[in-house]
Amino acid sequence: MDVRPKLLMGAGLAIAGLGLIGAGAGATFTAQVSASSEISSGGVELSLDGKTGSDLNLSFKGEDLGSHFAPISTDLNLKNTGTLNMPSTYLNVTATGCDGSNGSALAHSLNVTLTDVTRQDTVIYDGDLCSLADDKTVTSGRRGQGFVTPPEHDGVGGQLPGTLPADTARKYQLVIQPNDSKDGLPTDAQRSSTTVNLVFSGFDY
Amino acid sequence: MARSRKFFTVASLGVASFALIGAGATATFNDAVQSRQQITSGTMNLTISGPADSWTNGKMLTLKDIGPVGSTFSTGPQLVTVTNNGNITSALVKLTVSAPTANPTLANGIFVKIQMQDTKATVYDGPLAGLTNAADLGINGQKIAAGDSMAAFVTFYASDLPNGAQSGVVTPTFTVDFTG
Repeated sequence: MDVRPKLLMGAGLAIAGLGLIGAGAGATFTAQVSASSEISSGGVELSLDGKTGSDLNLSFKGEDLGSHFAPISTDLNLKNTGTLNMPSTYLNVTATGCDGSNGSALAHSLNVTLTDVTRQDTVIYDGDLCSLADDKTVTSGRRGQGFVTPPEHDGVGGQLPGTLPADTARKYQLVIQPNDSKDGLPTDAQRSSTTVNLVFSGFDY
Repeated sequence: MARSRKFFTVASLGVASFALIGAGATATFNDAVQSRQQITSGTMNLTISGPADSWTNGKMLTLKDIGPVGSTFSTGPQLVTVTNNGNITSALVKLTVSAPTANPTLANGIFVKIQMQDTKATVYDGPLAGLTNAADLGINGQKIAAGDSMAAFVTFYASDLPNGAQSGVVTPTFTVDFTG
């Protein structure tokens, strides 16, 4: 009767000791440090005459033109409404009929003058409509400074001179008139039409 | 009677002598030795710091905000230093990276380069998204002795981010766990 309690007490101490050994082996000293950085991206957005989107109708007044019609002129206000500067902007011009389809005679007898009004009325392009529309890397018109298209921006037309910082605008003037101011439009240009599309693109580099 | 008294006297002396011999035999020579060792636990204290334009409370480093960035950018190398201010050697257990964002296109377009300052070894140069999944960059287990530090250049960059990456925010966060 005296032995059993002592034996049980001894066993209990042994188990408790094993428990302490286990707890010590599982614990380690740890420390933690961290670093973070917030990266935010800006945005590039363009508006043309206060409108945004990819299908703007600028309401060119060029219906029922006579052979010696007065030059059609329109102002184009291009604004960078994004948060990033645009070191490069591009203009891509296409016109139906330039590829020989309907309206070919009319399209090939039109002249286009594009002037940068903001930059002291600098003439950017002055030449055939179809030359501008067909050749995306036109280097010069008859009197213009011409476009240059870096390879990395292929397919967006010619590069417009100058930069377009964020929240600034540039005003262009587009004038369309007969190529031959003396003889006017050719006879086969009657009862036909051409649609001129202007696509401005801006890049942040 | 007199004879008998002498006998008792001798007999009692004999017993007394035996008793003395017995008492002397119970004494021993004694000596003792003792071993003693003091064990002191060390302290881990790792701190993190960055460039002059960053902010840190010692445990968390916030690098300067970058942006708004364009489609192509680079933060340039930003030196991040972890210093062992404790008194025991600490070993890097793991590096975990998170990049919370509401614009996954931006996060997926960002690259990060990590280059150790001392060895110039590039331990990672790839998409940020790939780093968040990386279990081991080969630096796990690297030790920092007490008083020493470990430093790496961290560069975030991107080239030709797509339009969907515009107007987004991403916060890459690096967490380094040590054990000592």
